[in-house]
Amino acid sequence: MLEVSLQHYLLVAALLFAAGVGVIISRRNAIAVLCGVELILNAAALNFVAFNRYAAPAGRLDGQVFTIFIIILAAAEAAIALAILLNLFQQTNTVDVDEADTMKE
Amino acid sequence: MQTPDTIIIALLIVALPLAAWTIGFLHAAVRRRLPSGQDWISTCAVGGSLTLSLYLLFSQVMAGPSGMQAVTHSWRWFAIGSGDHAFVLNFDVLVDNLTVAMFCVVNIVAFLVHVYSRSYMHGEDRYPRFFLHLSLFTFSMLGLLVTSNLMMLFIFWELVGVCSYFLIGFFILKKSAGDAAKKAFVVNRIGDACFMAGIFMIGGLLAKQWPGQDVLSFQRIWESVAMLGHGNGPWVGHETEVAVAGVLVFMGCMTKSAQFPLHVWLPDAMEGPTPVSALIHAATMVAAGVYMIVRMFPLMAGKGYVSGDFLDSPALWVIAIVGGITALFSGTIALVQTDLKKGLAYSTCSQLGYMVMAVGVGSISAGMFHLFTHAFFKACLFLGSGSVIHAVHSQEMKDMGGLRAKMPITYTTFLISCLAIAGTPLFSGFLSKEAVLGQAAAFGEHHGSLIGWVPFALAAATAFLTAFYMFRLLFLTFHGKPGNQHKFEHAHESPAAMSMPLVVLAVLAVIAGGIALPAGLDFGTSHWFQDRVNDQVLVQDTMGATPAFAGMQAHMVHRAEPLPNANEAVTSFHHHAHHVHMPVMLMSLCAVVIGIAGAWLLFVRRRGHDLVASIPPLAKFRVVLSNLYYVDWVYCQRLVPTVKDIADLAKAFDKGVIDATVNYVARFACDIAWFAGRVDAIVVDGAVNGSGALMMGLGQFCRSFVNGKIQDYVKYTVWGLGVLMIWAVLALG
Repeated sequence: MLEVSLQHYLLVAALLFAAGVGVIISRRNAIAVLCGVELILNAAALNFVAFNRYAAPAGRLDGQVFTIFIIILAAAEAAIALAILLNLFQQTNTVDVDEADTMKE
Repeated sequence: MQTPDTIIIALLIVALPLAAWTIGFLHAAVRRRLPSGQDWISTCAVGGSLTLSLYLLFSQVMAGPSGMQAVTHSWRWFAIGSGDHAFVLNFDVLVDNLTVAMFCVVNIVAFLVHVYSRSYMHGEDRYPRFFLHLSLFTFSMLGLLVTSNLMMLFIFWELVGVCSYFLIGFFILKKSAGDAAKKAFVVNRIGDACFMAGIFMIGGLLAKQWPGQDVLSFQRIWESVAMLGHGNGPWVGHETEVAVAGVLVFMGCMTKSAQFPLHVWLPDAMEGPTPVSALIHAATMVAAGVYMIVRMFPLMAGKGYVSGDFLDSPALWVIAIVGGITALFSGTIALVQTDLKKGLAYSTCSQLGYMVMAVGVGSISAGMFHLFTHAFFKACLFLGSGSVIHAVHSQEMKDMGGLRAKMPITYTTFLISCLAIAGTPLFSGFLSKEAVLGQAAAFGEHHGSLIGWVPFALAAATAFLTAFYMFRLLFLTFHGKPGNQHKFEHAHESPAAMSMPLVVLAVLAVIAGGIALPAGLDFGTSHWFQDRVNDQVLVQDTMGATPAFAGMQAHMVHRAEPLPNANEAVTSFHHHAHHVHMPVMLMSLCAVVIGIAGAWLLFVRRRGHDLVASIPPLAKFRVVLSNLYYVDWVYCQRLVPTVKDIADLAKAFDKGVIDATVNYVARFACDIAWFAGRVDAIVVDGAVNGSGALMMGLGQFCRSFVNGKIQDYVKYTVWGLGVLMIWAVLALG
């Protein structure tokens, strides 16, 4: 039976990360872009957990702790990002990121 | 009398007519018209000058056996530059016997002409202006006499020239008068240009010896000549230049004194009012040329001047020959003139030729003596002709004739003057003409070859002609039957204001010769005039103790014996002069008698019979004479067109070569400029604009990445990450 190794975890994390980036780049809806960001964060969290399982000395939980932080951070980030989106919508009446290009100014 | 007093009086003589002119000029400037009493102002001024001149004559020149001691003074006028390269001009004043004598002549004639003109010009337009010009002329002429600086003399020379121009063209509404004035002015420019060149040559040569000093004073020039005679000074090795300068200076005299071939202006100058002809174109201004070469005589004589052996000097030869030719040439033309004034004008030319020739053959005394006597009788003749013209309102002698009975005073004075100019004994002209002829004959005898007799031959032939043509004029005007009955009936003697000057001049024409008579009746030992106007008195005594003049040999041929210190050249000349004296006198008497008799025969006895026409060669010659030897024709038809052709050629050269070169160079410069402009626009501006555009494009390119779209930023990040990973794989892998 196939042994689940670090490479499999990393591969899944990489796929997750690629999916996140793809979503961020390709989707116009700002909420979808936020979802892409969540995917990337989760890919990173998965890497931490995987490295902690396979690479850390026994008894150390640094990876898990980092993952907990990432989840908290993602929650906070989602809250702030949604607040920004709400403001954006009030300003421009849309959540299309192509319309919100005032950052170049 | 103290020296400063003499100078002051001399300057006063010069200044009085200037004052009269200034009064008129200022009046005209302020009131916009000349003072109506200008005639009185001018006449009084010249009268004052005359009085002072006579005072100087009697108190100074009459005093000693050789007249007055020359007095000089010098004022600095200006200096251009500084140090050794400065050009300095002084107003040098020299008052000696000659100056005072000339003062007297000029002032006597000028005064009488002023008096005469008040009547003659009465009622003419611009009457006050006439006197204004006369005053300016008198001032200029007197200034010319008083200065002893060649440059100052030239300035006054030009002033008398411009006065002559004003007065010839006085009748401005007559075209011929304007033309004659222009002709006189233009012809005189030729001589003046040469005169100026001569002055520059002299100044240039002398400036080496006396750098930064006034080198154009007579004294400097005389001293240089004397030094040359001793073999030192600034002119050693420059004898040719000195001779050329002498001839150039003489060219000035040739135009002013109307010498052939530059005489053409003088007969035309008769377009001016007759008193002007008498004063300027007979008695005084035209004599200025002779006066000038007398003052410049040492220059003309050159190296031999001090030793008294100067009779072969090239400049003097030129002067003698030109004078002789002029005398004969003008004398022949005078034979056929039908215009009374023109006849007199050619006679003036001829007599001026006499004076010039006298200087050329080495006697300034004879030249000046003839100038003085001529001034009186020629002024008398001209004023007499004016009186006739006033009476018959015509200058043509065909309108005259038989006027003897109607105008007794004019006739008598005219006759006396004719006798004087012809050289009849007991009249002044006899003595002066005999002095000239005697000198010319002595020159021939001394020279010893045929060519030496040329001046005498010309002068002797002229002596005969003079008697002939003068009496022709006299007979045609006053004798015979009236040519125009209507005009004859209206003719009358002129008023006293015109006839009195005639009488005075006629008296002077008789007695003026007396100044050359032996003093104290001791014949042959001393002559009043020649003792006062000769080489020794005029130059050596003026120069005083200048060492270069020590031992100078003076030609004083009027003395029975040569001076005790005379060397061989002078003694020999002296001997020759006395040798030829008596034959010349007899010959000149014969010439006068034959001339007068011939004129009487042709124009009184056989009047109306045209003898000349019956002899073909003479008739042909008369045509030549009537055409004035074709001199004017050659000038107008040949010389002037040639000059114009040359001018056209020069113009063509100017346009075709010089202008073309300039234009070509300009065009070339334009082309280069155009090319440079293109290079600038394309290459230089192109580089600048190109780099600007490049930067702009780069900026635009960079800007395009920053489009404000967050997704694009992420995209770039991913690409960058991809590139980094590829690099990492390739480099580290």
